[in-house]
Parts: sequence; structure tokens; C-alpha cells
Amino acid sequence: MRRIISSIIIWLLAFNAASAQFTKVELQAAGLTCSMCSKAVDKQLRTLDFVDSVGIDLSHATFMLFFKKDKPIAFDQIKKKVEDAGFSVAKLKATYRFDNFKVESNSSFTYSTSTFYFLNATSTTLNGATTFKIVDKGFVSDKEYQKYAPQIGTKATVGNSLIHTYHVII
Amino acid sequence: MMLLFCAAQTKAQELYPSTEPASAMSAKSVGLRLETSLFPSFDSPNDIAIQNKTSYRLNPEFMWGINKKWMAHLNFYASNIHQNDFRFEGSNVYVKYRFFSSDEVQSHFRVAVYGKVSAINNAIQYHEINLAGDNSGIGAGIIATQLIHKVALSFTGGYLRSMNNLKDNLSPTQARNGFNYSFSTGYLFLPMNYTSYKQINLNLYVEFLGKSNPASKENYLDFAPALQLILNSIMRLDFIYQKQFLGNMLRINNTLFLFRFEYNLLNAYK
Repeated sequence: MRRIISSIIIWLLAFNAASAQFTKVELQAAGLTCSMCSKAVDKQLRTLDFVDSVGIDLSHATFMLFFKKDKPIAFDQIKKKVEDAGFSVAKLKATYRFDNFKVESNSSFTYSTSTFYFLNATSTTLNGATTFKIVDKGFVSDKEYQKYAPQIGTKATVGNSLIHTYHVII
Repeated sequence: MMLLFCAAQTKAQELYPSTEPASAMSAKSVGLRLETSLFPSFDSPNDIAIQNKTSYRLNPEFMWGINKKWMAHLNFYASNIHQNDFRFEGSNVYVKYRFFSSDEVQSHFRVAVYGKVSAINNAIQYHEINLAGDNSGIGAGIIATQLIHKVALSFTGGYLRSMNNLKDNLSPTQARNGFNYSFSTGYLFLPMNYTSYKQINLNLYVEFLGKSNPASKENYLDFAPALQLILNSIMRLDFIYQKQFLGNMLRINNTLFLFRFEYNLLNAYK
């Protein structure tokens, strides 16, 4: 009986985790011109404790990050690792599994210690895997960031070490 | 059509063999280099008896990516240039700081400053201020590297100050102050399409390297084409031919062949 209960609990936990979580991140690095540079970014990304595996499309300098189930994902750390390799993030698209989440303009959701604001949301309900792009400084090229800066306004981009605020577009 | 395809796939490269780019090494990484320079006897510009032989210099180099903005190199030199036997000459330290970086997907512009200090034990025989094996001294300068779509360009401008070597002093005819400058460009020749880290990359470079000693009005400008192979995305082989095409400076040689092996240890420590 105890075994059955514990398996149900494990199953429920797994289901819970699967129902609202990041499934993958697609990241394009800027300024990469050689396989040596890509390898440097690749190796830096693999040092993150929440990253399970890294896939790469070398011709587009695009990395696919897959995550461990039990560790929260820190987007500022992903950005830092790309910069540590000597490059910057040109594009970061995250796929998140929503569970009947109602989006209004300016609505947000919280994941771990991060809050994500939707910049371009029209009233809709998100269900299942949804991909969005982070548009804060350092997550897009400088030129593209200027486009979103007025909307992001004076709100903290990547805040203090306890709470991170991100702005996303779908 | 084929030409168009090739042009579309050609990518710029900035792992310059004869100069440093403004870009920095990956943080917490270590690189090891072994460099051999060959100075053939046929293109010696002076009568110094020691030139009736092929001189060569060995240069082990240790590179360290301290963080995303700072990196350092430690060099050791040994050669038979200044005497007949092969012996240890001294070392230098090079530090680079990247202070500006503007990245877009297809382009970037980076600017770095560097400083160099060398301590060398050779006899001072030539007028070129060479902190890489011939002269004790200091140097500092600025590097700007621009990558636009398929072209990678880099400029270096620096000041050189020679000092007395460890066991030999500068004579009145030898320069105290000098300038160095370079212009580099390079591109990725192979592979046409990146599919794996294991692909061998073939890069081609053209660099122009110059020095001036303003007090004595001595100058030179070298043309330095190079071929580079990248193996397994962590090893690098450079084959450089350097030839003076303008100049009046008393230097070791007007022709130089250089071979370099580099091995990178990415994320060498936590």
C-alpha cells in the first residue's frame, strides 16, 4: 500500500512539474564566426548546473538547451555564460508549458524567483508549450533592445539577486 | 550560381596568426602555444657574421582567459640568433583588456587595450625594438576589430620603449622609442557548411605588420600571408610567411617563416 501511495505521489509531483515548466531554450549567439568560438560558448553553457544537454546548429550559431527536471533555470546565468565565452546573446527563445494561463496586457507569471512580463500580449489563454522571446538588455542585440526599451521603461531589467524581472514577447 | 553559393557561405575569421584580435579568450580557459620562427640566412639585411646560418627561435606561450574582459599571455624565448649555440633568452608578459564591445548577429566591433613587459638576456645587435625575444622593454597599444558579414578587419597601434637588456646596454645608435602598427584581415575558406565540431577549418589571412623608430627614421612594413587549420575546434595550426616589402630598419632578417601549434583547454578550472 505504501508503495502505491508513494508512486502516486511521485507521479503527481512529476505531473505537476511537467504542467508548468520550461522545456527548452533556443539561444543564438552574436559575433560567433568559428567552430572554436562556438565550442567555447558550448563548454560555458554546460557548466550550468540546471543544464542537462546542449544541442548545436553550428551554421547559425544557435544552441538548444535542455534542462534537468529538478533545478530551476536562471536566465541571467545563461546570459553570463555566453558573455564569459566572449560573445553575447542575440536571441533567446524559451518554451514554457502553460496550464490554462489567462494573459491580459501587462500580465505576468512567476517562475522560481523570476517574473516574466508579457509586452505584446492580447487577451488570450495559454495552454501547453508556448515559445516566447526575452527582450531585455543583453538578451537581444543592442539595436533590437532599443526597440523595446520604451516599453520596458524604467522597470528593473534584471533586478537584484533575489528577484529577476524579464520582459517577453510571444 | 555556384559562385553566389560560395560567397554566401564564406565567413570572416579573426583568429589572426601574427596579431591579437580585440576579442578576449573564454573566461577560465587556458591555452598553450608552441611557436617556431625560422630566419633563413639568404635574406639577412646586414653583414653581421652570425647571419651566415639559419637562425631559429622557440617560443612556448601560456594564455589565460581571466574573465570576459581580461586575458594574459606568458612567453618564453630561446634561440641561436645572437650566438651560435641555442639558449634561453628571456620572457615577456602580455595583458589585454577588452573595454568596448558592440555585437549584432552578423557583425561586431570590439576595442581592447594591451600592455607588454619583457626581460631579455641577449646582446643588442639590431635596431628593431622586438619585445618578443630581442629587447627588454615595455609596450602598450590599442586594438580595434571589426567584423561585418564576411569581412573581419583588425587594426593595432602601439608604442614601444626599449630598455637595457639584462647583460647588454643600448648603444646611442639604438632606438629607445618606437611604434608598431598592423592591419589584418581573414576569412573562413573551409568548411562550406558548419555541421560538426570535428570538421577541419581552413582559414586564410593577410596581415601587414610595421614598425617605426622615429628618431632614426627607420621603418619597415611586412606582408604576412598565413594559412590556419583548426582541428577538433580546440587545436590550431598556423603557417605564416612574413616578408618585408618596404623598409630601411636594421633587423634580424627580412624573411621569416613561422609555425605555431595551439591547444585550448576550455573551462580549465572552476
